[in-house]
Amino acid sequence: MMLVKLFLEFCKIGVVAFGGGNAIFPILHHELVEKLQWISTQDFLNFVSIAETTPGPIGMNLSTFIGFKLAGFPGALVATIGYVFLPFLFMLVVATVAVKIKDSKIYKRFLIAIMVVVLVLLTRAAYLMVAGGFHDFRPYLLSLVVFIAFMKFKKLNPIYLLIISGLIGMFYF
Amino acid sequence: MKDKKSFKTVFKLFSIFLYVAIFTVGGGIAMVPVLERVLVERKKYLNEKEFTEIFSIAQILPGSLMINMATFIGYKITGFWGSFFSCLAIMIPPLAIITLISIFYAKFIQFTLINKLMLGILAGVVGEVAGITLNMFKKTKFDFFKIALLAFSFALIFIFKMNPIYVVLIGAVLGVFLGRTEE
Repeated sequence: MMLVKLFLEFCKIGVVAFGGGNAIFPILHHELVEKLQWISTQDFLNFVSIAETTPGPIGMNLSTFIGFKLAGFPGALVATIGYVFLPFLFMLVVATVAVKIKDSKIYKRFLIAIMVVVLVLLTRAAYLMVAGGFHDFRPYLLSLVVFIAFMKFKKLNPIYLLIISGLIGMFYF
Repeated sequence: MKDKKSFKTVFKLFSIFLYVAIFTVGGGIAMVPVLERVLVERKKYLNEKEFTEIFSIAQILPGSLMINMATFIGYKITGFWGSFFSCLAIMIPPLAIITLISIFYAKFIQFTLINKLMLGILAGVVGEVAGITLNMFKKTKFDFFKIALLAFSFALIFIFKMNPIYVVLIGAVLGVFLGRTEE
């Protein structure tokens, strides 16, 4: 019974997760801590801080965490699938439609405008990461070096750059 | 999956999304530069324009950016099974890692070495996101409308701190009525 409830609850959370991880914290807190009282505020805050610093999308990490806390591994599995389920179906429909209307004039105009706005959104994303996590000059310096390497070596898989920066962080930060 | 070749492509997509998910630190945006390099420049599954289109649409729809992108990219390249296995792939690393952490929960919080590792990766992500932003800037053919829209959305986001979703909606409406298609 708990598993069904978990699934439905995280289906709901997955849809309202507009604009990525950070945006869903208040919603999750309202639903899980205040309304359902499944976990305590203290646990919730700890989960958030861990979800932010572990790999994977933040919202998904949080779903896995809370699911595990409530019902062990099956809970983690069900919560994660729930979180992904509706956006997946929704996106599948959008993809099907987009492939069909890709030559329409209105769709093209829409896309051209959206691509300009996305430039601003990308800048914002970088800004938010810097504002949230960089406390002295070293991360800035590392970002600059990675930026130059990324632009210069077009054939290099960017994952290697991330592995190297992770190691540098481990020893020099 | 009709033939052997598309089966291979689905498997390839699965493995790409699997390792990309492991390095997605600081939110779904971290995967964008990596995917662009791998899918567009190396594997040539998509062209630059298609990738930007997918990224833009994934960004403006509900749901996490990663799931949206994986679904759309998978669908575009190999149809339903492509999107199914791409999504499955990005769920595995969080499930595995978070489950492990849940078991050693209390100890993990005090583990500063991991925090430093993650901050290092985050710094790398910032550098790569800056790189891909610059590349997109360079590839955009700016006309008067686009420059005006760029300045306008910049002001809405950074000065008026408007919710990005509304900025996207305003931009879309302006584009449909005032924009021009490039032929």
